[in-house]
Amino acid sequence: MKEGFLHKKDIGPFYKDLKKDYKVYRVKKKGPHYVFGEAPDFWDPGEDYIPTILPPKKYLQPQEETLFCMALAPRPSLKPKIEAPPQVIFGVRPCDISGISLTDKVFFDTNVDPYYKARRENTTIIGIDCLRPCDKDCFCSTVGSLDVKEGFDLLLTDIGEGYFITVGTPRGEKLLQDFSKARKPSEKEKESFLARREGRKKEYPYKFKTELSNLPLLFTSNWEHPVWKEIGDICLACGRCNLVCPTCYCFDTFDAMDVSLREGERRRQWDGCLLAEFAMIAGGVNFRTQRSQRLRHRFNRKFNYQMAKHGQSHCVGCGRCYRACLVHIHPVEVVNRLAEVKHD
Amino acid sequence: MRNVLNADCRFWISALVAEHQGYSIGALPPMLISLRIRNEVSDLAKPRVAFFSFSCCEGCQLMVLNLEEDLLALAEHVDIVSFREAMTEHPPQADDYDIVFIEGSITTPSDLKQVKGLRERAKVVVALGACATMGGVNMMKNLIGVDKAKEIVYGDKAHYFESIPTMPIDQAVKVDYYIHGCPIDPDEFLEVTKSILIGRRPRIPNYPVCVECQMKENVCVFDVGKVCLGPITRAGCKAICPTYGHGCEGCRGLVDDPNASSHKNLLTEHGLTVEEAVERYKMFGSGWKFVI
Repeated sequence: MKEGFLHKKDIGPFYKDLKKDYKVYRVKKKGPHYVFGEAPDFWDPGEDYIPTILPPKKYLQPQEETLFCMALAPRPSLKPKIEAPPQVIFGVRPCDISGISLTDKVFFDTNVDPYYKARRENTTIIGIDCLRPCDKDCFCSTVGSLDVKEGFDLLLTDIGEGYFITVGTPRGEKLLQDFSKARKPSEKEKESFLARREGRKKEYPYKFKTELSNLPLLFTSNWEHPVWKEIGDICLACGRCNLVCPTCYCFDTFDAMDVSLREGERRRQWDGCLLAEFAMIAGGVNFRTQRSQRLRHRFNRKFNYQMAKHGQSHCVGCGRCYRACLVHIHPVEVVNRLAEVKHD
Repeated sequence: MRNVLNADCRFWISALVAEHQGYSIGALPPMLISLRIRNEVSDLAKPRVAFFSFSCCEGCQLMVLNLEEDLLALAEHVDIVSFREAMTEHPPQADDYDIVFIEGSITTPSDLKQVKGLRERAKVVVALGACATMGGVNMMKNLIGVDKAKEIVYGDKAHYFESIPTMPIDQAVKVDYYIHGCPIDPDEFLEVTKSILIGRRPRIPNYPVCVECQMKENVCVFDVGKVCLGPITRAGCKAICPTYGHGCEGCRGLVDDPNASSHKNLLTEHGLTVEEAVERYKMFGSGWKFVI
């Protein structure tokens, strides 16, 4: 079954069924925002959704995790620690699905990260499709992350009476087969799905003043553009843009001895390239002391270096960094400032 | 046994951190290295640790006491020779100390004399808490003026009291380590103490409170109509105030390279006047250099 249909009244039982075998996370309300978390019953904000404070990367690469434990007695020893309970992240939007599939590319590239790999392999992603932009600040379709083709096990698209389900992996297919109320979609339901996917295109205007494929060259050729100093002057270097970004995966590693001084752990913690000491190396040398340099680096990571390497924008257009930015630095505005440059 | 442990520990740690940037042994203060060598080559007693207090509420010593079992575990490695807050019997002042934790700020001529004496008798001096690291709330006296402050507090008896402008400890003597906060975070106290004992640099954040706050997925207090010094204040407190819905007051001091002018604009954008914004920085003396 490569496609499926689930009636809206059956999604609650589907969620409950999943909870028997997995830790299940879904979108919840937190103050004026949303977050992913555990909840007894299914709920989804539907069209009211705006991206959660943190993306679901927190379940694949936690904010802080132990890599191995070390002990001095009876003789020095190391013991790796990998925790990867089977989990389902329910209601992941296309931008975050793209974020996960881009992070997969990074962590499964030449150096496979065993910690990420263990979690990723034990994680089922059930997506919920977007049919309208969540707010004025998202630009997922502009960077090509609305029409997702990978990164999910199941993708649910609301077609009125129920959800049209696109199956992404054999694991997703099995989940669907195991749930008796899911069935194959009718021709009419498939048509309705295709019509909605087609119809949403006009809802998502293209927001860049240049072709997406131009971006790597645009960023390379605008290394000295005045916009870097302008945003560097207002940037607080708080690192929130890094932390809320679905494709920022950098981390800092450190050792923590316990108070006995006989045992300890090596841990890692999220880091961010906007933070002052991110590029500090041994001897105290820092090769990105200026905020403008750090911002330029971050933008190049999203629209140039990684994009040139993987052929896809590493900004997924979720708009989280802009919503989190206290001084209102908007990636679309930065790209368009560069795009306005006239070349002879 | 302990000496063997220390030797092992050093071999162990250096092997583990060899690849690890920023923990170069050469970067340690010389006095620390001598402390370590002393432990290795002789059967001298455990490092002698003392706590002393100047102008403050002694809340930071209380935070150390709150460590309870961890404090007992720590006591296996050190001799705590003076700790007024914790001891029923107060031993006479010792001749010298390996590590002295100094709490509070210097506000009188006699404080100044005492702290200089302590420095002479201590191998390592650690400033404990906001009053010691940056003056803390006591810094407000300097903004008011010493004479005026004396008059407000002591009225017509002001002339009985000697008072000098408030100083953080490092304005009076050299300080080797800083444990920030009002009050300190007990885990950071442990981090610094353990690091001194095993001879490595403690891991003290130089990133702002926003990092810890965002990692906890808190709702930003700016989003609910409040203001916060978190974007430029040094983290390490686990963002405890914003976690409970209160804007950061800056008790841990600013990060090394704060964008204070942009932050001031941020506060005014969120409804504060420039004067009110500046008042915020004054509370713990955190934005001292930006206020003057």
